[in-house]
Amino acid sequence: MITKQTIAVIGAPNQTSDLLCKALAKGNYRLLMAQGKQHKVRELFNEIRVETPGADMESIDCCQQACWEADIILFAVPCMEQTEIVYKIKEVANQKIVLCIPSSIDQYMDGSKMNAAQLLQGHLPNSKVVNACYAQSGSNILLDSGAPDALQTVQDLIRAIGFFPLDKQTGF
Amino acid sequence: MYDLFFRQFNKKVPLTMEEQLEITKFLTPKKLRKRQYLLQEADVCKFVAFVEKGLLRQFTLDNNGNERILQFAPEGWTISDLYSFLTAEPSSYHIDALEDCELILINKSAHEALLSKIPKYETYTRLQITGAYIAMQRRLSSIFSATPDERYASFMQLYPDIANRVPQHMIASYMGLQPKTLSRIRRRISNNH
Repeated sequence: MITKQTIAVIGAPNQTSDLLCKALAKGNYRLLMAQGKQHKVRELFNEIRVETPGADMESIDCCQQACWEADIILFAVPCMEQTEIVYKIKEVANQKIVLCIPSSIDQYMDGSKMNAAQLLQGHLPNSKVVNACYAQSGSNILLDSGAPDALQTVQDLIRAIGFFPLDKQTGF
Repeated sequence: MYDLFFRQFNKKVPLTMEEQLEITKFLTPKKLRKRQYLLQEADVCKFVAFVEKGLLRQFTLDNNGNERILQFAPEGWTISDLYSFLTAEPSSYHIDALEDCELILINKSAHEALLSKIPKYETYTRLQITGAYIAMQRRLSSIFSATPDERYASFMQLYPDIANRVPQHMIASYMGLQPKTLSRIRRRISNNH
């Protein structure tokens, strides 16, 4: 992909979203980091600024504006807080790929990393939700989605930033 | 967000509210800032973009790095590399924003789904492609048969809004002229009046 993609980062950073954001900042991507109430986003923003001074990155107050500009939305919002954010972004996330990064709390509570993505797909029926989580070993990112074209796009993106996409269903 | 898109659609093919809501499910709203690219050469064009607000241009670079503008797209217009969109071959064009833009994108899978689900979308697409073909024929005829003065006068008459929003060197590029040549034409026309 030669055309620079804009990626909106929404929600509280966690291990997977931190890894992806830092890698995306080094590539041909423009990151729009929505501030909201999350001071951790500010911390991540500052970390990336130090690690990758040339990153095309912007802090933006409104998550709706960030998602409106975005080609892909990186959504790291705990299940319990999804409803409020989804209400704001639903219209502008239409048909867009939403990369759902379940928080560790969601994983602990539900025992399954899929639930946050399934819940989100229910909230955003016209978006293409792709579930993503770090496999805790090597550079593997487990992916799953009901939208094959979105899954393919995200697999390409994950490869482009130096990770290995694995199909969550098959493990390959 | 979709006001102008559906106004234009309804002018060509009137829709019921239900059809409008169904079509909305397949549309991608996208904001683009001035000078940002929507498409760059060598990428496959995966969308058709309708301009709700703002102004874009489609251009290519010649061997000397000069911009050759193929199309301007202000509000109410559609812009894409249809060849790349339909064949999935890499595009030879760039599309960028000359002003901050609000766009409605229809991606390939949405386009295919709309064609099969909404017969009126198929009619709308046929009319759009017919219109684009006629416009291309007119442009080619103008390049082959009209003088540069006539082409400039025709551009100013047909697209006064675009002429007011883009710099002269871009109009020259669109017309296949050197900026100096366009300046001479403008002087000549203004002296004649």
